[in-house]
Amino acid sequence: MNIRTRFFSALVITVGFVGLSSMTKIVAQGQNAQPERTCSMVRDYPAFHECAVEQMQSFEPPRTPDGKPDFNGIWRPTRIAQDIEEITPGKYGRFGHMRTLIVDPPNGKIPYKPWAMTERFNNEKVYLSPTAVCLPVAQPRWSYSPVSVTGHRIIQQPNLIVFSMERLHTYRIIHMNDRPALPKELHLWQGDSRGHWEGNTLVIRTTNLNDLMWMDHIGTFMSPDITTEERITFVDENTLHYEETITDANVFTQPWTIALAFLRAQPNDIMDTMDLEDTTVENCEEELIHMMNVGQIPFPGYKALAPK
Amino acid sequence: MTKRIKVAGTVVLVMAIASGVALTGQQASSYRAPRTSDGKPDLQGIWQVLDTADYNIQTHQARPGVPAGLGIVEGEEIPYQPSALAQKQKNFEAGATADPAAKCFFPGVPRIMYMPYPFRIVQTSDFVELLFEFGHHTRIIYTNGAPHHENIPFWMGDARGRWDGETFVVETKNFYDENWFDKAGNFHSEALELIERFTRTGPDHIRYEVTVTDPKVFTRPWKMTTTLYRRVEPNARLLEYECFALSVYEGKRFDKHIKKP
Repeated sequence: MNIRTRFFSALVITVGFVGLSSMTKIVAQGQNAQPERTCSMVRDYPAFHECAVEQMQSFEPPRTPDGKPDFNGIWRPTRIAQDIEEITPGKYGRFGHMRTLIVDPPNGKIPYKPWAMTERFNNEKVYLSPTAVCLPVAQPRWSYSPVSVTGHRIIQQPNLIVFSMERLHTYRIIHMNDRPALPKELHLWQGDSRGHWEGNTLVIRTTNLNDLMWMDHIGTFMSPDITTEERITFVDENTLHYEETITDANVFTQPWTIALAFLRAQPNDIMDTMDLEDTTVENCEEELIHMMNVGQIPFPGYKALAPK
Repeated sequence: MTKRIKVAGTVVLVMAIASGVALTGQQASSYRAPRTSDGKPDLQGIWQVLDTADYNIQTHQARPGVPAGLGIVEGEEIPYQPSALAQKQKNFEAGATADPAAKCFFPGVPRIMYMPYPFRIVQTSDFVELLFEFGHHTRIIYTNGAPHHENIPFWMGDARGRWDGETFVVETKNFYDENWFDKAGNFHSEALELIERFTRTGPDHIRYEVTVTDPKVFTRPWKMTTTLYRRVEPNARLLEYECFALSVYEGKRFDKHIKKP
């Protein structure tokens, strides 16, 4: 049952009430009711990035009462990635996007140190994909994780911005004030995020990440010293430009940057999946034990892989 | 002499009455909480209980690793139906190995409200969201009149809230039957329905009340009351308790499945 009339839009925005829908159905319906966009090529990432970087300079965004660009709402990424570089286009699913997410370096490849490149290929063979066994989908992967396709809610207050990632049943808190940094020894799956404004761009720097997760399904890994910088800017009222720069001198020869679009969820999209609880630990336990029984082991993290 | 005693006695009596009235007045008087920008009592901040309800919601002695505690159940008794009481006893004896929260499942509601970890309340004009350090769980409580989902069960229930003066009233239903109220094995069925009431009683306290109704397990509704304390340290924040990750990496629970090379 599809509710498409604007009469129900207020209800549908926040709850939805139909029942389970498949992911492809959601994406298809999203595509059926799209507003005009300044940079309409939202799934052609290099072209969108180029267009967006230019157009954002002259767009006056909606504002909160304290005068900042207003990101409140539910936003859906235009791309999910099990393989950031999309080495074999379409191998991990065809969502209409089959090219690398990377806009810098221009060749679209992750600038691995040679030993790290070898390790990455090894990871996929030997170790359990962390998210396949319910370990957290965390920074820096949340924006393009497969489960993100149903959208994320941004709750914006002057001192605090929350990314409520309900389908991942998790959240990130971005501190917008000058509070003491976390001690270096503490590593969190979501890291420690601090945000500030540069003109109309929300800039988020994240530190204190841990090295037990992968940045995609094929073993792209990081050291505990990794830091990320995200930059989020309105291109038009319904479109955000999102970019993320990864810096980790232990693993990569230079920082590298991905970019994609986030689209505002429209009133006539089905939102009910926002409230659903996803994979439970009960299911993951079985999967974990099964994979262990065929010889895979939990990913031991950067410390076990790094050359001595 | 007698007259002085009488006068003194009267004064003492009057003072006792006055202070009694004042005490009663403090309990009955409502604190008016600061308001959010849309005029509702502001519940925002980081909160945490100081009771021992997560171990046992009823009064309990100390045991190794478990502090003594007064119960948070009003009237002390949990009105189990006879067959349900037998199940509770079985749960209690099975203990830590059977506790769903110990296995890192979603801990359910109201249990997550009184687990010994902080949580944050965030308010918008359409919903109130609770963000928990334990297991990075969230509860979203819509306040915009959206109806409950139908035919979908939730580990954390499906919550809708409204304002009643100074009190935030939350109705939650559509539960699974998988969770316990505490480590002592108090439990519910999928017919569980809750009414929670959050009332700020001062700058740093919320009175938290929850009425439990479950006609499959209990003979009548019953109620728990406890206090949420604001975490007032200047650097107070949520950290992480990634229950399942900890059990994979440090809990030794899965070690026997790892094949030796």
